[in-house]
Amino acid sequence: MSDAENATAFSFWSDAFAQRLHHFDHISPRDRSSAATVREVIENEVDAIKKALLAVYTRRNALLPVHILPPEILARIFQFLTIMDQPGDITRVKTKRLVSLGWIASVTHVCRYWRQVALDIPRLWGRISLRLGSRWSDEMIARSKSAPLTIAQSLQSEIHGVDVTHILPSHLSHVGELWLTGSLGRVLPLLGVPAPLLETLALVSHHTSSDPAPLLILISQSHRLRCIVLEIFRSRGPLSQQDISYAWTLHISPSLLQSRTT
Amino acid sequence: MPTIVSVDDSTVPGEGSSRLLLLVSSDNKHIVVEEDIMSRSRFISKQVEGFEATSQRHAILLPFSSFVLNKVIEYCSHYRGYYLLEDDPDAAPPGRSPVREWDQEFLDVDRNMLLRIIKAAHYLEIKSLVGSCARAIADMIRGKTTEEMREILGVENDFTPEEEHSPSSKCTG
Repeated sequence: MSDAENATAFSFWSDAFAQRLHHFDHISPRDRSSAATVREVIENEVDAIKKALLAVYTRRNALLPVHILPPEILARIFQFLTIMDQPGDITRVKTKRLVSLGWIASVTHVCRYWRQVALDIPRLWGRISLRLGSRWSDEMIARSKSAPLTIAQSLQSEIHGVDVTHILPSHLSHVGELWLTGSLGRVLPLLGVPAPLLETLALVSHHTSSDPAPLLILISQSHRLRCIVLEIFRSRGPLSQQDISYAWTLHISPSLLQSRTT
Repeated sequence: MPTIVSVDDSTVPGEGSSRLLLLVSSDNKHIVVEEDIMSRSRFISKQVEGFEATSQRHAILLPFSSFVLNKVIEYCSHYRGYYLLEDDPDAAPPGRSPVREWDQEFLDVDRNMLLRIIKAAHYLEIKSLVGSCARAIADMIRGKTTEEMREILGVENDFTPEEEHSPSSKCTG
């Protein structure tokens, strides 16, 4: 834009502002009551200008190379980010524990268009980040709509965020991938129901004494299951040779599963 | 619908097994390429089917520059004759599979070029190339702060203060 064009634009917007406020020109600062009213009016005008400016930024953004990508391409990019940049990393700043939002911040904090695209893709939200706490896990489940959920948690003694046992009872029917490691004692009893969307089940535990019957129900009644990884040692104390003989490790490939069902 | 123009047989030679296609870029460069090479593009394959139905040969006009088109042809030439799972229309988008080393080098280009290639691949319906570009862009973005992202992409913050804090405000514990 040339200097002349710049000057014209400036003159246009200055005139518009002056015109909006010209009937307050005669107000004196000594007239305290009127001055206060005018100050408020001016504040409102400034807010309106800021809002209008944001709309101008949206138009400017729409012309950038990155914005000419259609939503279906952005969806592919965002999908990779959900795996590469998972939420939940914890950093400490003074006494505060900050949990990283990972891809959620990368995608939804940048601009309106990206946020809208992300909100319109339910499957992005299906990878539930339990470490962000219940507000976020509830929000992600709601945004995932009917897309299958992916739930992954390490069941250590100290769990940061939402305990998976609070999620599973009401959402197992909606889970597409379930990855759990650690002590499965509290989880196994919750699994004895069909999970019609479940495609991947991975359970790794080196010390569980729970009854595996619910697990067998889950496996036999979840007809979309095509990847099962189970490494479960039944043990009550430190691992011994005898414990290892009780261990069962099962990896089922899609072809094996197909032969089972035919 | 893509724009097509009729061409005579002297412009597009070739009969039988190694037929040639004439692709015309937005900067009006004419590029002759073997049909086999471009068969990874569902868009081109559909065009060729159309030619066979009408027994007419056409040049295919494409809405991107010859520079971008040559990059896409380079990709298709490299994988000529290879089956890539991602090009299967029924294949789920690969998530955790490792990025192919050749693709990584091939896509080591500047940001704007990467965006042009992904748009061209999307137009030509080459799923594997769209996937590789998407992964490269995701790689460029990951781990960046919002401000860094805006700077990289040249984007202005267009959120109102209310929008800025919802629905994705920071969580603290």
